[in-house]
Amino acid sequence: MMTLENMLLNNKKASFLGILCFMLLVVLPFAGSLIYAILYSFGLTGILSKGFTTTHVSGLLNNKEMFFSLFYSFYIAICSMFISLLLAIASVLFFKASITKSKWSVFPYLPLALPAIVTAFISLQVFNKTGVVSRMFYQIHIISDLSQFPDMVNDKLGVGIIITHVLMATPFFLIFFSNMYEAENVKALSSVAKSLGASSIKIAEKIAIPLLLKNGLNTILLYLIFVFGSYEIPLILGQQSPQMISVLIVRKMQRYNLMDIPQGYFLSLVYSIAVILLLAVFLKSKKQAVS
Amino acid sequence: MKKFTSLLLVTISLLLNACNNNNRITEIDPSQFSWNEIVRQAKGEKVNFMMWQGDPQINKYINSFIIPRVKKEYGITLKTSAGQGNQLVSILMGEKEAVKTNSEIDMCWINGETFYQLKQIDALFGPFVSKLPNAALINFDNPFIKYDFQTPVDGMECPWGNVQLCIIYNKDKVPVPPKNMNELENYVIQHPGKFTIPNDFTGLTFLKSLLIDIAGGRGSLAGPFDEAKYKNYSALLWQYINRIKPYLWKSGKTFPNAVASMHQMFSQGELYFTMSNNDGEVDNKVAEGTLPPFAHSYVLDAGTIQNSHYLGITKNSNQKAAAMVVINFMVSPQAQLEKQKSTVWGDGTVLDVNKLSVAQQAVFNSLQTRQYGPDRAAIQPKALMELAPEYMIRLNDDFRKYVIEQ
Repeated sequence: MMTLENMLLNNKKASFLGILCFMLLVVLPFAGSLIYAILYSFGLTGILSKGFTTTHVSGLLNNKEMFFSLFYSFYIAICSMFISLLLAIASVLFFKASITKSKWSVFPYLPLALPAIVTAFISLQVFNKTGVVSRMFYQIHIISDLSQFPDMVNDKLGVGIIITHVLMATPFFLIFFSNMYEAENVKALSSVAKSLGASSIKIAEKIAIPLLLKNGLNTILLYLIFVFGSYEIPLILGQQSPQMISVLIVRKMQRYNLMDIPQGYFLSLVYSIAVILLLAVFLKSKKQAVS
Repeated sequence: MKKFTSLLLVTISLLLNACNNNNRITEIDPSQFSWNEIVRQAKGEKVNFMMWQGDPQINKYINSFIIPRVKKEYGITLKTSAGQGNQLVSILMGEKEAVKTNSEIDMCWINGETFYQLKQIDALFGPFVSKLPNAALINFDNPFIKYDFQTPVDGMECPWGNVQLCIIYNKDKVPVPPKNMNELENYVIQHPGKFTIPNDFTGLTFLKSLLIDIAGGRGSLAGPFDEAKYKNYSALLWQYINRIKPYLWKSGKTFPNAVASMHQMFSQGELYFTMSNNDGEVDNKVAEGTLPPFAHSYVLDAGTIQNSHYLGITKNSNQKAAAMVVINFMVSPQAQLEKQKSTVWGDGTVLDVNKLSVAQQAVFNSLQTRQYGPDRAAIQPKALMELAPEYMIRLNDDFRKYVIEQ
């Protein structure tokens, strides 16, 4: 018969094993990659390295490209998430989560089945100057020439990238918030508030939206990081300058000048630090909120 | 606790084993073996071929012609994987940095800039070309084949195909295409939004052609990279491009990241021009249905770059013999003939047709003449030699610096 002491010992062992696996499979490779990126950035490793140098790093720091790229990636991520969350929450509140229970419930799942690269190509076909929307506008005489159709892909403001991310993120959050709406009994809470005289707007403002956002914060942040680092969509629908951070890193890593590779590693390092900082700020604020 | 310690040791040993790559190495010195011996060694082996797989017609040629033939005739299993210049270089660099001694890639499709990069990292095996029986048929007297980006190939890569940059235009919309830089400038200003330059290898080849024209034409930039000449003439080139920039596609605010997207916009009528590194591509693409029949191609009066593509063997391949046999077959008259057919690939041969048998010459000469692209013999006098690789690296950086980011 297992004693309490044995049970505690086993739990301790299991916890040690979990930490060990996490360290070996997650922390160690990640830390190793960061160290390798630092060494590569400063010319301390790599087959073309000629010893310690700050040339690659100073080359990047003296150029606005890296900062523009980080800012542009953040701008795309924030805009995409804001619009997606707005649409998803509005739909959930309007349909009272019934959208995932109706006979149309399969539709939100369909966009989730498409890989990002396919969605990007669909956006390109639909929103470019000679695309489906442009031709429809031409047919109904909104425009007299296809070239009058506004730039929606490969454009300066990243409209095409944002639309495509919204097309991918909105169904995801729609399903996510619908399930949460059910699980958190928002309907019942709203009924109580209504019986006490709260208006629909007040219910949404004070109960439903804060509840959904608060409980979904982890997922929202992870999706924001995912959009921040996305590659295929900005590669196909973005401009040559500025480029989102992942596109810029790959360009530095895989272009004609092998001497740009250390800059690619430094950019990867900067990108990783940006994501870690974002997570740290989030975790700290969450901890403060709890305490 | 013992169990956990064992588990830890197993995990660490697995990790260490994954990093240890001291597997079998088959070092071959071609001069030590007869061709028959190489063919015998190659039998039953598996060769990994990394190639650009962006064109279904080229993939079809490899999958339905080359792969079955090398299997049937030499018992070699040829496996292809997708990857071009930069990816190839990245993989081989990674392998070298990880001190991996048996490469995942045995043979590869190389263009000039990749040859330069692979030489920088010492990743190519050779010289091996003189050992190939079919090398005797290759036209090494042709400087466009003998030199790759101004560098002698010296048997380190085997010529495979030869092509010339062409501008493809919409014949319905552009009855008389611009033939020189002045005409192009006038046309672009009068027809805004219909012309652009891809920010890729093809676009850089186009810019190199213009740079040679600005520098004084054929031979003006021959030889090693000349900093003074580059600075002088590239400044004029960027002035020219910036003059037409506001009239380019999307007002020159961005440029397509690859020529494939230009082809698509050209087919949909958004652009009136696209371009191709392969003078035979327009016939091939029209036959395939990718480009519409209004697509025709030509070269500028001042000429365009002609270059060859090559096949190489990686230094750390342990299937060098089998890779040599495959490459020998790929430059055989039957493989080159099939490749040159416009319905197959439309890629120019590297063989000296005069060295072939009368019957083979007749078959080569009977290949269907081009309907949409210029005749090869007609554009040969307008062929410009590739420049030293540093010109491409600098143009790539400066196109971004002085045009895209302006």
